[in-house]
Parts: sequence; structure tokens; C-alpha cells
Amino acid sequence: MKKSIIILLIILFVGLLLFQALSGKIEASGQANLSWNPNTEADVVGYRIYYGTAPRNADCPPGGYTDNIDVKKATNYKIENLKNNQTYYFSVTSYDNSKKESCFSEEMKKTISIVSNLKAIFKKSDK
Amino acid sequence: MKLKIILTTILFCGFFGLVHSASAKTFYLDGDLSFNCSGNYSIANKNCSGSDGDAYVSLADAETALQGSDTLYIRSGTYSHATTNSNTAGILDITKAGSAGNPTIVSGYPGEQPVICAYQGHCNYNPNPADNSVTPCTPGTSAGGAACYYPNPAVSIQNSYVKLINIKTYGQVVLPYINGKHDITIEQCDIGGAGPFLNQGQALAIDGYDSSPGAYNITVQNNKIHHSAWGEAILNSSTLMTYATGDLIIENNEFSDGYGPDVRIKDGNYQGGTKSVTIRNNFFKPSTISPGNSGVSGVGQWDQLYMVYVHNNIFFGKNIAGGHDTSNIMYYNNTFIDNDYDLYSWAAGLTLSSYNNLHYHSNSSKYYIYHENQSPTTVLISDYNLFYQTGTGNKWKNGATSTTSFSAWQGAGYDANSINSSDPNFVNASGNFNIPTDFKRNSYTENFIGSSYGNHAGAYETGNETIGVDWTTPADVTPPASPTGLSVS
Repeated sequence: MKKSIIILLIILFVGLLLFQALSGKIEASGQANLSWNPNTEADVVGYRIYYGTAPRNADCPPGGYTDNIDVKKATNYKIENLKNNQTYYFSVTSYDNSKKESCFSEEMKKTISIVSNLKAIFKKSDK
Repeated sequence: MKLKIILTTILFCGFFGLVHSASAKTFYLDGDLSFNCSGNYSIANKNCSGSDGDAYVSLADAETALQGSDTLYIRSGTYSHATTNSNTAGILDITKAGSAGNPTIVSGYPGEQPVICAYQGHCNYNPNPADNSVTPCTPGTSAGGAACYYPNPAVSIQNSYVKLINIKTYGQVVLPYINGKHDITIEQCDIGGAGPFLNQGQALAIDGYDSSPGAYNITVQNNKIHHSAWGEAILNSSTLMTYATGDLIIENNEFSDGYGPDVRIKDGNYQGGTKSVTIRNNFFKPSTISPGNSGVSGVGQWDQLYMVYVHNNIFFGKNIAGGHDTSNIMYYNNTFIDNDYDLYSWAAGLTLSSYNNLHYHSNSSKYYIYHENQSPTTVLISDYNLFYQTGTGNKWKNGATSTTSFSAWQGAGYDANSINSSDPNFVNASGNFNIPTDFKRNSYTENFIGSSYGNHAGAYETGNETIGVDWTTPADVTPPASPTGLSVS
């Protein structure tokens, strides 16, 4: 009984998601989960994520990215409200206590899609 | 197959070369070289036998090579060159902007402090800083007015995201007309000698220019700044003077041998950023070049519409420690030692606030507070201070009220929770107060529980503060490594 209710809820949820996607209501509902290794330097006090819809044009900031987020000491971060059917490029920098900032990490990319959204949602549901 | 490998190699090398050429570089200025090194400089051997990158013999060549976000290390030695006289362009003229996190850096090589002389052959301080015989300045006339002694600034910084580190100058460091420029840091430098900029005899001049948005995010930290000279007016003959500069931090510096005020803040109406100014943890030493007792003050400001926060400083032996025109200043946790006027307010403004300050007077008939209370009326707020005197007849004044009696001063509505005549228990009780740590305290007699600025008075609240310069650790210009292992899901 419980299982069938859960399946029903999932079907309803997916249906709603697809309806919203088709009607354009979740145009900017995608997300990307980033994680990286912590720096080993003692004076590193934070990280900054750079991202945009085009690959970077330099090894060091600003690199042509359109957005950046200071995530403080976190080494993983979820960026939300990304547009569906759009490829995003991501890099991370570290900065120390005198505000000196590193050059970029390797660049990674992700294409935001309904499928990837659903994957992310189901992955979350699994937990 | 072979062709594919060759093409791939060519493409790879071409791409790598492109990326490499577009990246910021680190290179060197070494006056001991016989000729420039092209990629083969040896830091250890100071010749062209290594692989440490490019190095130049002359300051002019290094300056030409300096691009945005580059790091230029200058090796020990004395550098200057003949130039066309300029009030704004220094012997070293830094014009290329860096970027956030990757500033353009000019630094003395770690462990070495190179010298830049503003006037070739004049690697000394003006022997007559009081000379005001030539006004306005005629650059190049070393025998003229004080500000003309050096025809050029030693160093000028004219763009954003720049750091100047660990350089000694004979002559002015100037940030001329940097309206709209920002994120400039001057750190661990020894800046001595006035310059010609604005003909005002300042050792360090920062001019956001008097129109919006001004300059902002300017940091002056851990420097020795000294030997200003007479300018167009005594109050403008400041050792460090800023115009229209906001988000300004002046910290852990040592000021000495000033002709005018040690620090003067001006043109607040056009300050950039949040318009804040913080002056903290500095050591203001006595001057040996003051014209009598009329010229030297610690901090002064003019046209300041916003609060200037002055805290954890030591003001020692000044004529006017608080400076002229000090309305709209919040003083807290400062130590005042034998100044003629510890806090002085003359011009109209909003507020002069004083909390948790330690006033020590071994001389007589000096002012702890002198508040002129001009019209429109300015507000004096003063409490939780420690007043100590071995001299006699020291005074408090607010407008028409002037008294040597602490109880009368309290009766007038000031310093209700302050203490008079308690021994501050300085570490160096013998009075040989020539270094900041002499003013640490063995014990605290006061316990200002009700204050918002801590339980204790004075610059050393705990004894762990760093007041004045600390050059034991070379300034670090190396950014951290890039993060690794980035994954996205």
C-alpha cells in the first residue's frame, strides 16, 4: 500500500515537472552540484566558483565568465536556477587571507536538461 | 600517421604558447646585471645563467615590460633615472591595472628592500623641509621650495588592482587623480621624502579627485611613512594625505618626522565605496623636523561628512594628536602620550566621540579634550576613558566650559564612567617610550564593563595587539594554488 502511494506520488511529480517544462515554467530550474579538493595551504580562507555559458578565455580570473559565487570555506556547492538545454562551464579558484586569488582549476562543463534534473531529483529522493 | 602527430604537436605547442603569452608573468629588475636576461635569469646567482625568467637591468625597461597582473620583483640596489619633470609620473610609474585576485604587483624581492630615488643623485631627504620660498613649485629646482626638492614622485600608481610592496623611496609615492580607481595596496614600504604633487609636500598622496566616484578600496598597511615637507599650507603638508578616498584602511604604519599632520583625510563628499575610513593600530611618533610646536598633528580631516574610525593607535608627542577639524571622528581605544592636545575639534560637523582612550600626561597644562564647539553645534560624546597625569593643570574643554577639575568636567555631563589619575601601569614605566610595546600594560586598573568598546582603555587592550609596523615576515605576494579535483554532476 505504502509503495503504491510512493509510486503514484512520483508519477504525479514527474508529470507535473514535464508539464511545467513543456509550458516553459521551469526554464531556469536546473542545477549543478560541484565539489573539489580542499587546498592544503594554511592561509586559504575560501573558494570562488566561476561559471558561464561559454568556455573561459584565460587561465586566471575573470576569464570571461559571466557569474561567480564566493562560497567561503565550502568545498562543494549546488548552483540552482540554471537554464534547461544550456551548457554551462565551471571553474573554481581559491583565495587566501590577504585576498590573493589563485588561477582557475580545470574547467568542467554540464548541459542542463530535464533528464539531468530528474536524475538529480531522483538521486535526492534516494537519500 | 606521422603527419597527424606532427600537426597535433604543432597545434598543441601553438595553443600552449598562446595561453602562456596571455598569462601574467613574474620577472625581475636587477641593477647588478650587465645586460638583460631573456628567460635565463638566475635568482640565486644574479646573472643570466638560470631559468627563472626575464630580468632587466634598468628600471625604465622593467616598467615598459610590466603588464596587468604581472609581478615585478626588484632586487636590492638603488634605482633612478633622469626624466622629464612631472608632478604625477613617478620614476617608477605603474599604469597597468591588474584584476580582482590577480593584481599588478611591484615588490622588493623577499628579504631585500630596493631603493627608488625620486631625483637622480638625490637619494636623501630634503635638508630644509621648512623652506617655502618658491610657490608654486618649479620642478627641477632642488634649491627652491621644500616640495620642489624632488622634481618627480619616486613612485606613482595610476590604475586599479595594484600592489606596491617592500620598496624604500627617497621622494613621494603618489596615486594621482585616481578618480574611479580602486583596490590599491601599499604594504611594507619605507616612504620618506615629500614630492611635488599638488605642491603640498606630502610623502604619500592619494587623490581620488574631487568628483564622484572618487577612489575606493585603498589600503595602506605596515609602512614607515615620514619626512614630509612644507607645501602650500601647513595643514596640507601632511605625511599621508588622501582626497576623495573611501573604503580606506590605514593600519599598522609608523609615522614620524612629519612637517604637517601625519594623516589628513579630505574631500569626504566625493569618497568612493561606502565612504568609510579606518585608521587603526598605527604608531604616531614625534617629529624631529617640526617647525616648533605648531605643525604636527596625528589625524586631521576636512569636509568629512562621514565618520572616520580611529582606534588602537598610539599618538606620542604631537602638537595636536587628534588633528584639526576633527568633527565626525570616532576615537576609541587609543593611547595618547604627552600631546599638547590629545583630542582637538575645531570646525563644525556632527560628532566627536571618545571612548576607552588612555590619556597620559607627564607634562603640565595640556588638553585631554579641546572641543571648540563651533556653530552649528557639534556633539561631544566622551566616556569610559582613562586620564592619567603626573603633570599638573591638564584640561578639558567643550565650548565655554574649560576646567582642570575632573569632577567639574563630569558635572558638565561628560565622562561619567571615566577614571582620572589611575596609573596606566605601562611596561616601560621609566618613560623611554620609543617603541610601541613600551606602552603595553602590566595590569589594568579599570574595568569598563558598561562600555561597547571593551573593558580596558588604550591601544593595548589585551597586550596581544600589533601596533606599528612588523617587518619580521616578508610580505607574501604568492597566490594560493588552483584547486584540484573539480567535478560537476
